[in-house]
Amino acid sequence: MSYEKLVKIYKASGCENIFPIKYVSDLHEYIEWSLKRGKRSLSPFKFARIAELSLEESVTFFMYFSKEEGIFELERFVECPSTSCDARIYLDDEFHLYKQLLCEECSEYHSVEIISKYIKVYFRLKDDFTKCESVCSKSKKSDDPNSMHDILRGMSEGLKPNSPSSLSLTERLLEEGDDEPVGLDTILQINQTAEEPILEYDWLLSMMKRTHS
Amino acid sequence: MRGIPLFKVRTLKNVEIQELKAFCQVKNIPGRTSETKAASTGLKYERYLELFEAQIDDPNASLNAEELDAFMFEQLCFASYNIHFMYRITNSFFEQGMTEHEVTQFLQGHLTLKLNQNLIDWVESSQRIDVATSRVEFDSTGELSNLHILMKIGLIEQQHGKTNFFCAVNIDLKSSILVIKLDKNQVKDANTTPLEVVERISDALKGEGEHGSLFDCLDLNFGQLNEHDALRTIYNLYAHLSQEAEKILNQRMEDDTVDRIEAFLKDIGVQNIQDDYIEQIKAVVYQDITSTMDEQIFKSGWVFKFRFREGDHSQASSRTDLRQPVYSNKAFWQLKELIHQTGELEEGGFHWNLNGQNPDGGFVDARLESKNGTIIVHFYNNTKSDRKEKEEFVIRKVGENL
Repeated sequence: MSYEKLVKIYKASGCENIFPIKYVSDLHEYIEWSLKRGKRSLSPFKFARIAELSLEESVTFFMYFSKEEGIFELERFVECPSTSCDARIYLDDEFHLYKQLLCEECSEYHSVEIISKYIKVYFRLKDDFTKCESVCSKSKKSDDPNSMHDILRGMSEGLKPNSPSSLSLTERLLEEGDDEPVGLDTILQINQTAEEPILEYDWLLSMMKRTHS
Repeated sequence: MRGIPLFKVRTLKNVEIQELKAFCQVKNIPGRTSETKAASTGLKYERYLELFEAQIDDPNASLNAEELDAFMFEQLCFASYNIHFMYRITNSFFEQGMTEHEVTQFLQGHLTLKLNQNLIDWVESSQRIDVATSRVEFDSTGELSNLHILMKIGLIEQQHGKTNFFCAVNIDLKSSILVIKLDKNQVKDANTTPLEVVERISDALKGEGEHGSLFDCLDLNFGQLNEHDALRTIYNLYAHLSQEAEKILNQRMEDDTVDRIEAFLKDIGVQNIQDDYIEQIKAVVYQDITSTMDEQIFKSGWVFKFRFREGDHSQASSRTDLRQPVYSNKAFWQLKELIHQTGELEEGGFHWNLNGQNPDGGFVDARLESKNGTIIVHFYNNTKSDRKEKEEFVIRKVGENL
């Protein structure tokens, strides 16, 4: 994942009209750090803290990198509403065309209309980017992801040791919640209020129409 | 004109509309798009039925009675079920040496079985157990391998209106396993529970109760599985897959890894280096390797879920969301040795490659659970195509390990 590639997307997506270029290097560092740790889903929550943005700004920024030629794919899921089922139902690109969805674990059908309010999204790095990273990653095989020693050794120099907020970045790194998903309603709202919708996927536009009516 | 209508639309509603659409496409049935438009899915089924009736009526049509029957049988006897109950057969009418001819004659002689009845000729009765048809399969040496029975066991109100509630039974004499198949949603809509239905059907199959006369000629006896047998079977299936995975992962680790781990532990001051510590760290490396590995590596398939009972009052389980290998989960490595020691597993989710050597040769995703004296198999929706083959595969696997 090269910085240049990110800049290209930054310009092509229209992101450059909204965000200063400094955030692209923040994103680049965050991506490198995540890939070293085998984390393919990036959290706008964490990025908001790293880059000192509000959550809404952070999600908006990520959205610019989620277009067709972007680096993120939006992985959608909903927790199966059946009371005795703990599975997640992952949604494909056509889910908005159906009236009902099937949970494969408990075999129950659920109305798309009702679950649409509960859809969550991961910003997941596309395959092509992660494959490159595992080849050119500098981490050794014996790096233990549970070892603080290894984590600190592998940390990029550029990350600030202390953010202006009251908790230090090192503590932030130890925090869980890296994989926290974003509610689809947040993304829909941002898409709605932007001058032109940032993302134009069929399913997204369909969801927008529903919530608006 | 036939004069006699085909099976009823409430039977057809057991087949998914997509399947009907695909079938009509494959058979190149004219009017399949224009004549099946309808205001609701329920009405759509009526249109499809009319389309089929017209085809069967016309001797020059693209679709004939046998083809339609074959399609309906595959759907009603295999594809439409998501929960299978397995029992061990202890007695049946079949004896070694009975020829194909003798078996067929015997079964044909018992009219209640409706052997080889074409589904389009099936006239429903109002009995609580109404046999629609039964079919036999013989192996390459002419010995009886399977007897399939399809029966209607009720009428229920579902999404698209009144729908026939079906149950299919697979009597597998090669593996000595009897399978009772149901659709969980139909059971719920019938305001009953799977176990109640299974009890009712089992009684009849054994020649007992109100409908025992339908099947008593089969001389069937089958019983609950011994709990340990069931648990051990699931464990065996799990062990076969997970051990293959461990072997592959071991090969992927560098030769001097154990030495390097020992050196690291010494380096950070661990006084008494035990094998267990090294195993724990190796487990971390395995986890890491698995997460970057292509699933193609696992030739036989993999485990995507397991549930394990620790002692009398607690359980542990681990599974992946999208039925990927569970080997990249910490819990798997932590519990692995314990599971091997007890040799029993409550539940396992298995992704099997049908052709052990070629991952592109089709696969089956199934979840097996030991409960109430049976092994319950849950098939996932992605397993709908070629369900018959997949069901046979799982029965064979269970039979081999039971």
